[in-house]
Amino acid sequence: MSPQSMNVVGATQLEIYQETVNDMVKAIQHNAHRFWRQTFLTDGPLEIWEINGVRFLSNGNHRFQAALLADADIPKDFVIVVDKTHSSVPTFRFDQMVWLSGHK
Amino acid sequence: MSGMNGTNALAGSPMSIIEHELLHACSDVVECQHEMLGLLAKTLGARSNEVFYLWMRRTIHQRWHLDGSDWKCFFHGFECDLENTNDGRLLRLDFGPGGRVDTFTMWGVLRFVMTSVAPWPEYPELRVQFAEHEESTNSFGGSMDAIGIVWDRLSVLGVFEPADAGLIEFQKKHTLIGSDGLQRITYPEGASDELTYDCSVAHRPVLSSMGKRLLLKHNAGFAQSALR
Repeated sequence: MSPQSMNVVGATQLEIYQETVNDMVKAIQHNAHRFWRQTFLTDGPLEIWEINGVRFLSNGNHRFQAALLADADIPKDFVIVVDKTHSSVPTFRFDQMVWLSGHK
Repeated sequence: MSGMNGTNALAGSPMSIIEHELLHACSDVVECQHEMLGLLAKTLGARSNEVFYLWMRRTIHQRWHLDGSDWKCFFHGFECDLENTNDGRLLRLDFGPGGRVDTFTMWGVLRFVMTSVAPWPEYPELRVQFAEHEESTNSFGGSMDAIGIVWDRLSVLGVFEPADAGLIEFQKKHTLIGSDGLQRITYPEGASDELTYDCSVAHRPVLSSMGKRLLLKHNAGFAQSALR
């Protein structure tokens, strides 16, 4: 499933590390199946919070951005959507996120 | 000494020396997580078991420098990455339900093993065993494939168990496949935010009673060997 088709508009965290994303892009391009399997085992599924009908990433921001940059699909089995209607957690649209240099 | 293939068995034990060393490293990670969680909580002016929830509610910033130390940290997802800017040690706080940190992940243990130096334990044999031989895609040169082989053998021995099987079952009960084909969790009305955060980390491994028994048994065995 393409990351674009998941209709995610942002995240529940503001900051993201550029080099970590770049490394993940390389890993996806090298062996996508291995990348998604390993990162699922270590970091769990990408967790999308649906807050009043709008979707934000809560877990897996670096992986999601790497999939966008690599123009790669994300296996459906490694994604969950959690209904967070009425959540007051701060959210940030992707164009508001702060890209930091280096690795996380 | 262990063989580099990690298959040399310890006398009278189901584990090889490499497997025992990895089991020991998991136990050390837990100890170091507790140490660092205390320091982090002090910096945040919070109790240790509140740190996870403070982050999940996004009431604290992502990046911190820990008071009076060379440690900096970065919260993301359901964890917090710590780095010692002086000696390069890396530790990931892989939070579990209730904000506990007796939980760990293979990735967190690998980072710890590959970078740990005094005053924390060092693992020269594990580092050789887990060194990345292909083009490295991480900054510390550890191979997930290599640690995965040993990790899987430990799993078969039953040394790990999920942090909270009841929460996993609870989450499963409220999971359906949505119209877009993605798994969709709708918790019942009245479920607290803390409960839903706990469900997200309930699968993380802890040492099982079997794991703790084997650890104690081998530690005792090594102590006896050293006295001979």
